[in-house]
Amino acid sequence: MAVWPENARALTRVMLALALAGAALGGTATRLQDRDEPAANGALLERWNRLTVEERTRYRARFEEYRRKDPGVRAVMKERAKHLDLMARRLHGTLSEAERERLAGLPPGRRREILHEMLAAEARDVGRRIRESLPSGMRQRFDGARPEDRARFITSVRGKLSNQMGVVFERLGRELGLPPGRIQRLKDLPESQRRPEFLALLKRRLSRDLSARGLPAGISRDAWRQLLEMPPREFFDAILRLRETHPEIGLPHGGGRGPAPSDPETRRRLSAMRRAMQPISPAERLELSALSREERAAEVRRRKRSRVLEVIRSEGLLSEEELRALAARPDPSFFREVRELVSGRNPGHGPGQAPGGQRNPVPGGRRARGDGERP
Amino acid sequence: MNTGCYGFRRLLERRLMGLPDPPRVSELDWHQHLHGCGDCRALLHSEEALEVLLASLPELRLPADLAQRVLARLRAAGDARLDELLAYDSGDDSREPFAAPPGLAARVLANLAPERAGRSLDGLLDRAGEVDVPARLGERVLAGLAPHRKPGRIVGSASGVRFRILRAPVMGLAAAALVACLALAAFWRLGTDRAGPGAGTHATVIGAAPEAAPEEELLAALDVLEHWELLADVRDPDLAAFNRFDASDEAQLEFFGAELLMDEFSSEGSGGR
Repeated sequence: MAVWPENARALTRVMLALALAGAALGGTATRLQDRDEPAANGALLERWNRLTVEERTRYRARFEEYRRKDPGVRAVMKERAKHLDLMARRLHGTLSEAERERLAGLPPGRRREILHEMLAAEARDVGRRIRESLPSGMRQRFDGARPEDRARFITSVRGKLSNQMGVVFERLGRELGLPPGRIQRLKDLPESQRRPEFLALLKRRLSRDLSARGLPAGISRDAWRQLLEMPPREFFDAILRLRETHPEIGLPHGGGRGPAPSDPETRRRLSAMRRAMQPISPAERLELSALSREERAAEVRRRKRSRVLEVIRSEGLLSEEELRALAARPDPSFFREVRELVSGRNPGHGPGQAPGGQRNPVPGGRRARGDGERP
Repeated sequence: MNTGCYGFRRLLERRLMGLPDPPRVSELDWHQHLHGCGDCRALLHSEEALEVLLASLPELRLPADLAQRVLARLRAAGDARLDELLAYDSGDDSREPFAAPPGLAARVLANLAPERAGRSLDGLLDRAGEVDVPARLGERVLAGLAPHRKPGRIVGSASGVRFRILRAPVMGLAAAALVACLALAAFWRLGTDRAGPGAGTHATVIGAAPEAAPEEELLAALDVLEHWELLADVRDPDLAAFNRFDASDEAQLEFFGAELLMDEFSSEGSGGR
């Protein structure tokens, strides 16, 4: 029995020593963490803590799948996720102060749902823009490929683009008056360095062209200056978006969409149709936040249909009978028909012909904006 | 060939060998290294082309009556015990157990022995002599350990320092109370840290089942996990294009691509993939 008190005292001493050491270490660790870890880590943890139980479970399952992927695949996904984040910030930036407050006031789950829908519509629209820049034969093969073959197809197209980078440097270099030695050095760069160099050169050429010809209508000097201050990649994201409503931004080489129509009236019609086909604005989607996901998707499609029909009617692009026939079509067929109408590639009507055999209302148009929502 | 090529080719080799199981060769098409290395792209394409070719070959099938023809030939060759052996193979329990010739095992071992001696475990054991264990080794070891097994001895000797003041019972109680306070404070802080905005909807409310803290790797991948539905969608062609082409691809396509790609495309013909 005499052994027990001795043991208890020893145990108490050990516990106290451990507690004091733990408290001291804990405090030190917290201070070190506060001082050394980037604020980003705290922000990430805060984001995690804001998730609901169901979301955390879902994210953990996704993480397991992500972890099983090859490091190279993970790196690409990470890079694209960053791009989506930038895009989300840009979309959020288009909202007014009141709209942002309204968005912030939504229940967390609904808020994430709305943001996701905004982002998905925008991402699909950019994807459609890229897809429709492909030569028609390639596009048909891409669209017809099985989903599991698309990766291979894209890798192959990227390889072809890469192979042609030397030709592109040659042309751009000559236009910008670069000395032959500099052009050769650009051509000899490793592939990973050629891409940013290409964007930088193209930015230089576009800036020079626009400064010489004057800014497109509706773009202020301030807006242009802000564009020029962007890094090449963001600059091109912005320019490519701008081209949807300002097709006159020059394309001296005749790229994916061909030269802009020279007739101002046709350009105006093309812009009006493209605007009508754009995804609905973040603010408009926010207005629909009280609806369920399915109801909202249906309402988005209804609004876009009505917007497109309104432009066709006001511009007198189709006869009343043709308009009625178009309006009677179900959503997927309606949007497909309108895209073909704008792009002038409806196989049933021949180039430049509208569904009723009428001339394409926008003969300069080679492609249209998408409906932005899954049909 | 640089380190990136080496890494990628090792991955490809593993995939071609069927690792991991099931192999996911097509996933390599998304590999970042391919964006910057034409040689590895060409290598992957040639391996994929070979796979497609192999997959397109007709499946080999043995003629339906092959087994019967082989048996007939064997019977004709006069193997008297063939049908008996086949009956055992077919699981016919009514047969007498198949008897191995007497002394077969001994003969096999005798034939193998010279081959195995000197390099197998048996050979090594044969060479090993008897080990002499010192008399009463066990007792002596236990006796030597006995002083160290006395109660309280481990704590006392491990600390090496005597805090006499802590021997007082009052101080012992104070220490226990301090530990309890620290534990409560830590628990309270954990609860308030995690509760955050809208804590009522989350699992971190005090009293709820504790949740494992997210790993650093998981937090670092939070962007990807949040956009998972968009990033992992391979069915939607628009999302596939968005996810896999970058700004320089799009700019090249937009400003030069159609014309340049047509040069390569036309040389490929319609038989390409």
